[in-house]
Amino acid sequence: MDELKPWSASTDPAEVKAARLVALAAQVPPAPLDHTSWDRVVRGADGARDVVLLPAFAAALVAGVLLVLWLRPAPVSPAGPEAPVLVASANSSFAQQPSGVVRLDAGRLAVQRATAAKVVFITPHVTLEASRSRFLAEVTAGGTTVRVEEGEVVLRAKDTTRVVKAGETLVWPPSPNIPLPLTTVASTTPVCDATAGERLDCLRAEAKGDGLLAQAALYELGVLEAKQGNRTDALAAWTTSLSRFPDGVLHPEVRLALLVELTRARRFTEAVAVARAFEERCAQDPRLADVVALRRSLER
Amino acid sequence: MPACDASNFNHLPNGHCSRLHTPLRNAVPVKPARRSRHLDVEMSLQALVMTLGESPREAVRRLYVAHAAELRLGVARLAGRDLDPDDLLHEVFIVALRKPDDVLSADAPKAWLYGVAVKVAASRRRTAKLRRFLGLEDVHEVASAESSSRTAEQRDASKRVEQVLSKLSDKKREVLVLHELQGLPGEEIAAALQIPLKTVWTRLFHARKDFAAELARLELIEQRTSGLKEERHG
Repeated sequence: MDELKPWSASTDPAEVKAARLVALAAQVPPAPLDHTSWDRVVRGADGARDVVLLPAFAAALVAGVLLVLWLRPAPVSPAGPEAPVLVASANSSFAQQPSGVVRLDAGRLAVQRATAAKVVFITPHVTLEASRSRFLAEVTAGGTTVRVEEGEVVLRAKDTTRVVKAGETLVWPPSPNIPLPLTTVASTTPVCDATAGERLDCLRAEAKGDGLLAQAALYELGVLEAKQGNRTDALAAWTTSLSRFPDGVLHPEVRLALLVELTRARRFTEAVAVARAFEERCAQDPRLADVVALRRSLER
Repeated sequence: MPACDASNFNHLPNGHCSRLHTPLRNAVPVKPARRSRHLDVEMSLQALVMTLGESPREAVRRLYVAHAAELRLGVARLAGRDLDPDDLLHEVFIVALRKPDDVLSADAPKAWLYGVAVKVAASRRRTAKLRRFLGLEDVHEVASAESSSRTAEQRDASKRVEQVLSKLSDKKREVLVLHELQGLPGEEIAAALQIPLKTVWTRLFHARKDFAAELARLELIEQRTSGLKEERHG
């Protein structure tokens, strides 16, 4: 913009009026100055600067900085993922390590809220990893059971990785296949040929006896109890048979029945012991190879 | 006999004033591009001081004698009527005495002084505003920077101008006061405010507009509150 025209040359009446007013004010002459006031200026210039103000200024500055620091809002750290909610059963044994990994030795532990945080369970048999999942882990002597309700769980064993999805249940280690010859029930001397309820009482009575009939009664009692789902009673009958007649006529059949039922009950340690005893005591038995194969699969 | 002002330091034996054109040693080089017709008068002040063997303080005193009255009125217009113009003026020259090299080597010492005056006035206005806010305002008699020989019409005009100026922004107020009331040319205002010349004209253009609008607004308010009809001219 070049130099402006004089204000009074404006075409706007308001501006002309303002210019006239300002021109009138500009004509006011300055008041005469007492030139002796120069001495006051010199004294002011020679006087020491107001050094008192320096520490005051510094103190005010420090106070201001402290105030700003005090009023400054704390940095908001991004919220981490919500911790999972774990619910344990009364008899469970578990411990959480500083890294967040949960070691579950026995009992049940359930993750009841699906959060983004990673959940890692280590059991004697497997390692379970999950996030955004709800699942139940149960550890028994026979293995680890995983039941997934939401999301999915990655199960890692020695050389195997499985993904268990919502609605699925997985038991690890899986039950081995029992060779068919071992599941065949031996035919024995007919004992207590009666209906089921009466036969059970009859067999119990016969088992209290002695000799071959008692051996057959104990074996049959175990078979009948197992068929009826009374696994504990069945195992008790066969265990009694082996303790009373360790070298009885039916001891190979009793051992095999015990081995199969313990395997089905996932009591693998006891099953392996029974299998070893069978291998030792029944070395000539034609089913020895099947027993060895089952034992090896149990030991794996 | 005409008095020699601060720019004409050479008192001739016959009582007249004359400028010196002696080649100068140690003179502070001045950028030719920034020189103007208005600045030529004062540009070699430091050189003159050196040539004449005059102390810087004496040179500043000459500036005081030459410009103090005008500066006093100017700084009063810049700061407003509530502030003591003598205090403001003394502060301006105290700065000049503490920085004699700056003022004496300036292209236009008068513009330099006005530049300091603008800063002092702005600083005092801010302080006064803060004091008013805190309730620490002093009530004291302030000497007028205007001559008592002014007419009543001039006095009323001056008051009204002051009233309107108080409504303008600092930047527009400074330019308007320096140019329209103090009569400084654009180059000196640019030097005083340390802004480009075109910015001076731009600010002045808008300052005039705002001033006229504010004046019209004030008059309208007065008419409404007093009930008087607008005086029609012509």
